[in-house]
Amino acid sequence: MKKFNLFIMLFLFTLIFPLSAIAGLSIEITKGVDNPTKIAVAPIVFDGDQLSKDISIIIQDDLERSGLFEPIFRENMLSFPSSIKDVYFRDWLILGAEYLVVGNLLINNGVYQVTFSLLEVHSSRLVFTKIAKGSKNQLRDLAHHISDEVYQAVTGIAGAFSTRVAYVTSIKLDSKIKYKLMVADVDGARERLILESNHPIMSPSWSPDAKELVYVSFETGRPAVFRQKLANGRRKQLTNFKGLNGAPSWSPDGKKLALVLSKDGNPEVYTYDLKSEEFTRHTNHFAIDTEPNWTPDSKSLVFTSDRGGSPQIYRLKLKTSEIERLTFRGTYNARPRLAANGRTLVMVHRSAQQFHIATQDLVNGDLRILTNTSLDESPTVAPNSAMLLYATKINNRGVLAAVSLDAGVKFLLPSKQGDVREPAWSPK
Amino acid sequence: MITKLFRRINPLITAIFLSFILHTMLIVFLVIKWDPESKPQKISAPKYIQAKLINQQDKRLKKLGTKPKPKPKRIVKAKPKSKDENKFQKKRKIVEQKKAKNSQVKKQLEQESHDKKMTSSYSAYITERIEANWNRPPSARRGMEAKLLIRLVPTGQVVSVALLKTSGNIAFDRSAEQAVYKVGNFDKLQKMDLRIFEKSFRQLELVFRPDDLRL
Repeated sequence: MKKFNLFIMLFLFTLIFPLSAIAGLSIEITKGVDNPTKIAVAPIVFDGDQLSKDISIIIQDDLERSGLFEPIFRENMLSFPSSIKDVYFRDWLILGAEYLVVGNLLINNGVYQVTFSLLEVHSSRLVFTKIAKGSKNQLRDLAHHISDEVYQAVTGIAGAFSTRVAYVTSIKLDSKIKYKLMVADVDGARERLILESNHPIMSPSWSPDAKELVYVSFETGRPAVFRQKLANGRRKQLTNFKGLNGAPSWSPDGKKLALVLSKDGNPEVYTYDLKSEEFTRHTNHFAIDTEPNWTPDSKSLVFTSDRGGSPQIYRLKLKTSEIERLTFRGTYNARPRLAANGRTLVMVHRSAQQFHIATQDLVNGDLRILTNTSLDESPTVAPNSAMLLYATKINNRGVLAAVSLDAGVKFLLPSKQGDVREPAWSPK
Repeated sequence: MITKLFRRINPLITAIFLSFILHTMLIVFLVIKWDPESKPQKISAPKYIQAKLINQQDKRLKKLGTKPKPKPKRIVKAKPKSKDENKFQKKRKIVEQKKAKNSQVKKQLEQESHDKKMTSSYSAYITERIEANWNRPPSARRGMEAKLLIRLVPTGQVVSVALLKTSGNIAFDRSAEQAVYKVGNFDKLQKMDLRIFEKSFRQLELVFRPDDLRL
């Protein structure tokens, strides 16, 4: 019986194989172009009126800033459809649009509801229709949310337009320097003061739920790590050791901080358990070990150490304390940050006596220099691993700059006043 | 212990053995099936010459002068048979039929090679048009593969696009579909022989498999 079954199986296999070889003409496409997608965002209107905040312009700017889209500007549009039934695809084909976003807004008992649709122009197809709701002061959030949805559908990558950035500004007033810890939308809007001090503020790092920050403040006379809730400003001092207390980094699982302490004489990497409030030392070397950052699984740290003679990046497995050197090219690789994909290591790399932001692919080892500015520092990666922010100097002034991880898009984020440093991209 | 092991292994060995036999049979089957298509022309060619030897005269003989020995035999054998006129004519008819058949085969072969040439040149045209319009999303990676089935009409117009196999990335699939929609009309196909169009181009399978991406 078993043999019979076997026979049948084999017989079927022999039948299937030749069948699969029968096919019509098949053409293989192996190359393409990678141009920005042309997209038109039709004005989202309310009862024919423009809103206090022009949602569609915010969306258009979001998409354009990503570098992956080329918007079609409103003054060139031939019609202003607000729903699918008003769309004449020919109007958009003429303009060369590949995608079209239309939407309309309803206000119901103070709830702002946007119904928006993404359409493919060449095939005249609807990609999706979705609804987003918010209050009157959340129009900007609604816009960023729509940008996220459109970006994800077209690129296949999650959007990061609803995220925020924390950074430190310093302004010289008379002979005093004022330090400010700020948080803003990634497009620079809605800047908010978190902490103001006459003493330096450094190394902000987000909690994984993006509701709290940890940072280093010198307000007590020596560096100390603080934890602060964004919603109510309540804060708590976590460290008060002699010497260096620095470079805190919140673990992706939210349970621990990695930080650098020199309480035993030499900068070493520690973790701090937020629940038990216990410190655990992880490195023990006479060289400097600093700038720890977590791998996405919260099981390992990457950090900078000059134990090999020059600053290089190492990985430390917390469970086994096993240490592995990751970077070998160049004489200076520091300030590691791992993208959420766990594969792209972002760092400051020195080449030809200039400091640039570079990425190293941890799988195939490819090193790429992304920036052409100099004196670049503090890279921080967007949660979607598509872009990073870093601090650099332009005309002797500290500014933030952005570059996509494929180096295709680069732009500066000009500051209103003073120096801007130490950006930290929120994980949400 | 060993016998037990053997008993366990036995079905596996028989399975391997059987599958080996079946596959060889399959290969033999395929090979035999493939062969006749090309062989008949080779076989028929000498037959054609031999047949002419019997019926026609010295001219043919001279041409084959390098092989004089078999010919006399044939002629000798043919002579007694040729007394019977009917038989002779019958043979002639068969020969003529074969002749016609052969020229037909020749024509067919010529046409086939012509068709092949046209098909590959139009395929290259289609590839070129689509590649120029394929705007891949940044999430596209080497190793991704999407298959589309597109239907065309003789004007070159695309009348339908269907996804046969997803790459697993919706944005990638959509970019492939959009590349076809963007071309919209492969207008050079209008010049194509309708016969070739019907044979290979009314329905096309497109395989999108990028090999020029960094990742």
